[in-house]
Amino acid sequence: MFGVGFFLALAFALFAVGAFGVLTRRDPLVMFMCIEMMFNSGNLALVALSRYLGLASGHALVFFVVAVAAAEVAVGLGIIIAIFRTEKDVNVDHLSELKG
Amino acid sequence: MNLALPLPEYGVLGLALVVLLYDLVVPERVSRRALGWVCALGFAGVLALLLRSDAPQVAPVPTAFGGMYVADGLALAFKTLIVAAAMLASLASLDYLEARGVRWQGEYYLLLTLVTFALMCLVSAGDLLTLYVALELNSIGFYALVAVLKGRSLTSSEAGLKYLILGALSSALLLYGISLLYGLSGTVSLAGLAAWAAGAARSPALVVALALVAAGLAFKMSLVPFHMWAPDVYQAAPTPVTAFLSVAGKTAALALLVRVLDAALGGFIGVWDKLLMVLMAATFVWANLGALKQRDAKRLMAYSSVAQAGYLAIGVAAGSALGLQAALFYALVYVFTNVAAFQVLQLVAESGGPELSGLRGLGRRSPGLALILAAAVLSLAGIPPFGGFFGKFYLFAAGVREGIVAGRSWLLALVGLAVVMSIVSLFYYLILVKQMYIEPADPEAPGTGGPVAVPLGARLVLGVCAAMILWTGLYPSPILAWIRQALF
Amino acid sequence: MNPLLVVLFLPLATAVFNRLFGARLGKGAAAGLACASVLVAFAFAADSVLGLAALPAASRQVLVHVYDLLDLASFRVGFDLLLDPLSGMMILVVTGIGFLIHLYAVGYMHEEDAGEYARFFAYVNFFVFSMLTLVLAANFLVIFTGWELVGVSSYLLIGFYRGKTSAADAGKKAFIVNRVGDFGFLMAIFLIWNAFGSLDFSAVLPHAAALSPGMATAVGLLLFMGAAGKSAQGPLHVWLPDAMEGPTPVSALIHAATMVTAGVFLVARCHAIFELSPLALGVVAWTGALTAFLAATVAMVQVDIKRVWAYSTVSQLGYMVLGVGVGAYTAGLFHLLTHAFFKALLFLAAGSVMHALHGELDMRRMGGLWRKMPLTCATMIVGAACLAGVPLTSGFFSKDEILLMALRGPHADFGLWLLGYLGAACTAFYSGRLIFSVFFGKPRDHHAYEHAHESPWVMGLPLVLLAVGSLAVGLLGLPGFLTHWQPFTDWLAPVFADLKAVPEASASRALVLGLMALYTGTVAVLGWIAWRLYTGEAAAHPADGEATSALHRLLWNKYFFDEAYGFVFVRALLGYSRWLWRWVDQGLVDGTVNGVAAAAQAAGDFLRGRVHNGRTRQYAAYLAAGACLLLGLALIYHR
Repeated sequence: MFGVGFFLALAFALFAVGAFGVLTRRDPLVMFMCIEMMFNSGNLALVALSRYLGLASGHALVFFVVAVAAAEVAVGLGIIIAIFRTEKDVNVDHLSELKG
Repeated sequence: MNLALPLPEYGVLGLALVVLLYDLVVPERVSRRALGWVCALGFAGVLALLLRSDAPQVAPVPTAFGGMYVADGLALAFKTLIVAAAMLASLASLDYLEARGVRWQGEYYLLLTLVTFALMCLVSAGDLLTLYVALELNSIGFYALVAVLKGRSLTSSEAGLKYLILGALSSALLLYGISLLYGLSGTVSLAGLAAWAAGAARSPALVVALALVAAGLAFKMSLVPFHMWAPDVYQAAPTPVTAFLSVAGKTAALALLVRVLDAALGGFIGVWDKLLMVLMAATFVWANLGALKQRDAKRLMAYSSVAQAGYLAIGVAAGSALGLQAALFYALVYVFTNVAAFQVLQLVAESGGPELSGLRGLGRRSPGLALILAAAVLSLAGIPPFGGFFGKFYLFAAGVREGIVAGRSWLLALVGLAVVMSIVSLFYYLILVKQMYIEPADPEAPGTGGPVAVPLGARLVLGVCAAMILWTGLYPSPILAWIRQALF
Repeated sequence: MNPLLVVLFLPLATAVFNRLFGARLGKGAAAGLACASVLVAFAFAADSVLGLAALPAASRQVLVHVYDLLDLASFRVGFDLLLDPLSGMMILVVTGIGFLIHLYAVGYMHEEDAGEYARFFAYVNFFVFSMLTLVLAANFLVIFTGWELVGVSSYLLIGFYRGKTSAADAGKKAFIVNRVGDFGFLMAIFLIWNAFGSLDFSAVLPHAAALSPGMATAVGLLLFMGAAGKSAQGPLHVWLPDAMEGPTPVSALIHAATMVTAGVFLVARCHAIFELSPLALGVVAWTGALTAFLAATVAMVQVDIKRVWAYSTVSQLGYMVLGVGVGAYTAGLFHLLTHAFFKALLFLAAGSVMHALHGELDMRRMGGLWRKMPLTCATMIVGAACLAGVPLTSGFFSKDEILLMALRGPHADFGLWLLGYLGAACTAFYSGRLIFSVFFGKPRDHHAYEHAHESPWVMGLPLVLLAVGSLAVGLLGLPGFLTHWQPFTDWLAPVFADLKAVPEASASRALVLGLMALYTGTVAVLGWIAWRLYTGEAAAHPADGEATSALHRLLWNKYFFDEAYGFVFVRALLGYSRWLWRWVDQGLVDGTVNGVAAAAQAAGDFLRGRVHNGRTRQYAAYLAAGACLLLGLALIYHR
C-alpha cells in the first residue's frame, strides 16, 4: 500500500524537520538529535530505494551509517561533558569565544 | 582479489596497534612522548613503501574488496602526501604535548594514526560506502584531536564542538545526496556511477543530489560559505593538529573532489562546474579579504588555507590532465609550506603568544626560523623561486587553456579573479614578513628576548619542509616526473 | 662550462654566501666579495658578448639550456638562457653599472654594522642575479620568474632599513603595485601559451604573425600592463617615488638604471607581437608620451632631490616607452643605455650630497655647495647636462632620436612629438633648478654648509667613471647624418631584422638640424630661467603651504612686469605642476591605490565583525544557505 514515493516523501520531511531543528535550537544535545534525524532521513531513503531497486548495497550502507553516527555522537557527548565541567551551561550561542 | 594490495594501509593499522599496545603495557607514570618517535618512524616506513611502489600505468587499475578499494596512481600520490604530513605532524607533536602536560598522549597518537588510516582509505575509495565511512572516520578522529586540549583550554573544546556540529550537518547533507544518487543510478560503485552518468537524463532529483553532494564535499574542502568552521578550528586546535588538518585533510578532500566530481560524475561537468566555480569565486574574495585584518597568526593562516583550497579547486574545475597534475603538484607544495609555517608559528607562540605581534624581531632573534616562515608565506603567495609560484602558474595555465579551448568563459573569468586575489593575498602575507623583519621587538613584551628554542622534532620538520620548499621551486623536474607517472 | 652561467650564478652564490656568513666575515670581506663577484660577472659578460660579436650578424644567438624547469602534460618549459645582441647589451649594463654602484655602496653604507652591511650586499647581489635572469631569459616563464625576482629584491632593498615603517610600507607598495602589472603579464603568457603551445621566444616571436589581430592586441596590451608596472608608467608609477625610501645606491641601481627599464626591454623583446597591433603600439606610445610630460612637470616642483630624480626617472622611462611605442626600438634602447649611465650618476651624486649633509634631502636648505664638494658638483653637472639634453651629451643624441622618430618614424604622430618636446623643456628646467639650488647661489643653511665635506674616493671614483661613461656612450649612437659609424644600431640590427627599415630616410637633414636647434635653444632658455630663479635671494622656493595661491601671486608678482615673459610662463607652469602633483598624482592616482587598499581592509573588518561572529548556529545557517544557493544554481544550469 505504501510505494517508494511515500517513503521518499517521509525522508524529505524528516530531513527538513532535522535541518530546521539544527538551525533553531541552542542546546547541543537537541542539535545532535536533529542531526541524527537528518542522518536517518538519508537512511530511510536508502533502505526504501534499496528495496525498490531490489539491491542489497543500500541496506549495507545503512548499517555503516548507523554505526558511524553513534560514534559521532559519542565524541560529541565527550566534548559537551568537558565543556560542562567548567562552564555549567552548554548553550552553543554562548560558546562564541572564537570569532573574527 | 588481491588482499595484499592495501599494504600501506595495513602498515598504518599495524602502527596503530603498536601505539595501542605501548599505551597499554607501559606504566602510567612514564611519559608517552616516545610514541611520537614511534609514529614518525612508522610513518616514515610507510612513506618509503609508498615512494617505492609504482603507479599502475595500464587499465584496469588493480582493486581489492570487490572494487571498494582502488589502488590507482591518484590514490598512491595522495597517500604519499598524507603519510608525509602525518609523519611531520607526529614530529611536531612531540614537544607540543609534552610542554602542555597532556595526559592522554597515547590516545592522541592513536587518533593520529587512525585518522591517517581513514584518509588513506578515503583517497582509495572505490564506492560510496568506503567513501562515506572513511570520510566519517577521519572527521570523527579530527573532532577528538581538535578538542584534545579539553580541560586546559575551553576554546579547544569550543572548536571541537563547533566542528562536530557543522561537520555532522554537512555529512547529513552528503548522505542525503548519496541516497538520491543511489536511487537514480542503482549503484554505489564510483565506476558504476561514472558509467551511468555518461548517459543519464537530467532530472530534478539529480539536481538536488548534485547540489547536496557538492555541499558536502565543499565543507571538507572548506570552500566559502562552507568554510565557517575553519578559522575557529584552526585557531583553537593544538597547532600540530591544525597543521595536519589543514594539509592532510585538504589534500584528501581534493582527491575526493577529483574522484567524485571529475571521475564519477564527469558526465555532469556542465552542471557541477558552475556550482564549484561560484564557490571558488566566493572563496577567493572572502578568504583573502577576511585575512587582511586578522591579529592571531594561526587564524590568519586559516584564512590563507581556505584561499589555498580555492586555488587547488581550479585544477578540479578544469578537469583536464594538466589541471589534475597541477593540482597535485600544488597540493604537494602546499603540504610542506603550510606545515613549515605552522611549525614556526607554534615555536614562536610558545614564548611570544599567538598574536602576530609575537613575531616581532624574529628576524634578529632567530634568523633561520624567520627565513623559513618568510619563504613559506612567499611560496603561498606565489612568488618565485618557490614551488608555490610554479604550482599557481600551472593551475592558472590549466584554467586558461580549458577556458579557451573548451569555451568555458566562466573559468577564464575565475582565473582572472584568482590572479587578482592572489595580489591581495600578498598584503597579508607581507604583514607576517613585516612583523618579523621591520617591526622592532617590544622590550617589555614577555619572551621576545633571546632566540626561540627549537627542539629536535621541530628541527626535523623544518629541515624537511625547507628542503622541499626549495626543491619544488628550484628543480621540480623529478617531482613532476613522479606526478606524471601517477596521473597521466 | 658556458661563461653565461658564471655571469648568472656567481652573483647568486655570493648573495647566498654573504647572507649566511657575511656577518661573520667582517665588512671588508663581505663587500670585497660582493664587488668582486659582479666585476667577474662583468668580465665574463664582456667575454660572452665579444664571442657573440665574432659570429656572423645573422646568427648572433646563443641558447643555453640549464635544466628542465617545468614538465607536465603538454607543458614543457626549460630554464633556458638566450644571449643575443639585445640581452648582451643588457647584461653589460647590469653588471657594469652594477659594479660601479657596488663600489659606491662600499663607502655609502659604511656606517652600518657588519651584519646589516653583509645583508645589504647579499640583497644587491641577489638583485643582480634576478635582473640577469630577466634579461637573459629565452622563454616567457624564465623572464617572468626574473621579473618577479627583481620585484622581490626591490621589496627587500626598499625596506632595507629596519625599524623604518615608511620604508617597509613603500617596499610593500612597490611590490603590490608591480603585482598589479604582473597580472597582465601573466595573463598574456597564458594566452601566448594557448596560441603557440610553447613559451620559448624562438617558437613564439618569429611566428607571431599567426596571431589573430584581436588576440595580438589583447596579448600586446596585457604585456604592456606588465611593462607599465615595472617601468613605472602612469598610472602604475605611484610606487617609484615612494621607493626612494631605500638606500641611495639601490635607487640608482634598481629604480633608475636597471630594473625599471625591464618594461622597455620587454616591449623591445616582444616587438613582433606589438607590431601586429597598431592599437597596442598606440597605447604604448601615448602612455609613454603622457608619462614623459606629466612626470617632468611634477619633477619641477619637488624639493626633495631624490624625489626630483625619481619623477625624472618616471619621465625618462616615458621617453623610452614612447620610443618603442613609435616603433623606434633602437632609439628607445639607446636612451635606455644612456639613461642608465647618467641617471645612476645623478642618484649617486645626490647620495653623495646627502652623505655630506648627514641625510638632508631638501634642496631649499642647500646652496653654494660647489665650493665644498667640487667633484660631486662637476659630475652631477655632467649628469644633469645629459639629462637636460645639452648639445653633444649622450642624452641629447638619444632623446633627439626618439623625438625625431615620434615626428617622422613608422608610427609617428605630431601630438606625441609635442608632448615629448614639452617634457624635454621641463626636463631642462628642473635639471637646472636642482643643480643651481644645490650647488650655486648662497648657502641657505649655514650650519649644514659648514659641516659639508667631499665624499671618500670609493664614492668619488664611480662618479667619475659614470660621468665619463655618460659622455662617451653618446658616441655609440651619433645622428646618422654626421657619420655612417653606427655601432649601436648595427649591433641591434639582427634583433630587429624583421622590421621594415625606415630609420632616418624620411627625415631631411634640414629637419633634423632644425629640431636640434630648437631643442638647443629651449634648453638654453630654460636653463637661463632656472639660473635666474634659483640662484638669487629673491628666488627662494615657496613654502609648502603657499602652493595653491601660486597662480594668485602670479598676478601681483613683480616678475610680471620687470622680467621676461618666460618667467610668467614658467611660474604658471610651476603652479600647474604643483596642482598636478598634489591633486592628480598624490590625490587621485595615489589616492586610488590607497583607497582600494582601504576598501579591502574595510571589507575585511566587516567580515571579521559582522559575519564571522563565532555563533555556531549562524555558521550552520550559512552552510544551509550555501546548500540552497547550490541548489538554485544547479536548477538553473542543469539543462
